[in-house]
Amino acid sequence: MNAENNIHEGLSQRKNKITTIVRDLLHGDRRPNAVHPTPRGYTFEFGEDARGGPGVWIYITIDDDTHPSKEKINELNEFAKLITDNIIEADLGFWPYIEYVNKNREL
Amino acid sequence: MSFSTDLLAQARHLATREPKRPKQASLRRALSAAYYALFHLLSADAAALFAPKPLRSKVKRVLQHGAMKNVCEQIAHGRLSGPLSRSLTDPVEADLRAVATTFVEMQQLRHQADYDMDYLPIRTDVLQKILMTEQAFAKWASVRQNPNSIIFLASLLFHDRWRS
Repeated sequence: MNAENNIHEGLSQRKNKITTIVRDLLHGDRRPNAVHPTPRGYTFEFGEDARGGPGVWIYITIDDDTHPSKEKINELNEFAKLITDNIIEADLGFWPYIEYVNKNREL
Repeated sequence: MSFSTDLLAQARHLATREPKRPKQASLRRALSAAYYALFHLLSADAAALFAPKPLRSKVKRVLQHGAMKNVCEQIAHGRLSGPLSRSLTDPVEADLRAVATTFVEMQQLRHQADYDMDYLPIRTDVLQKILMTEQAFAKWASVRQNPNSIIFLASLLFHDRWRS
């Protein structure tokens, strides 16, 4: 099925596709060092954004530090972009919002 | 420096101003400043395209955040609804799509940063969002004079007001 048709799929099917895309990327070789793909390492929240549009919040746990290096920020930025681009490309009707969270945060 | 680049510099300053544990107020204001930096970058170019200098500040006030988000979501997908849809040259440049994508993401973060007290950004995440916005500035500089970018700017201003 091409991307144009994805929007017409069932809600749960589209949500599953989004979680699959993210899980595959989190376990792929472009995952940053600061990201750990453990079961508690990421979580999803589907809802409405500030303008009432459908969104998916993808919380990714990282090792936070007070003074992250440029390399770390670059790596995390590239990874967030990768996830965002993949979800937009799949055209599943949810806008992706990626948030890196502290590992101490209650997910 | 322009107002938009000043705001972007301010965002980075706020995100890093506390030497140890950052204050939530600093991180939240940093995100807000980064969003408005991008907003003013695009709105200044949109106004410059359609209005003489004395009228530009007033033309900028026509812009509506919600309508701009709708246009950016469409451009991020490489398409546009309405009368200008056929004017877009396919494919829409990756850099233009990236600018639009960043706008949508930063607008939502601005809202969370200003209104959602359950939202607790961390410095690393805020610095990533500022880097993303800085890259959007660079990408916009590389595509702002392309025909698709002109259509994008026109849509930001007039999207809901076009008549077929």
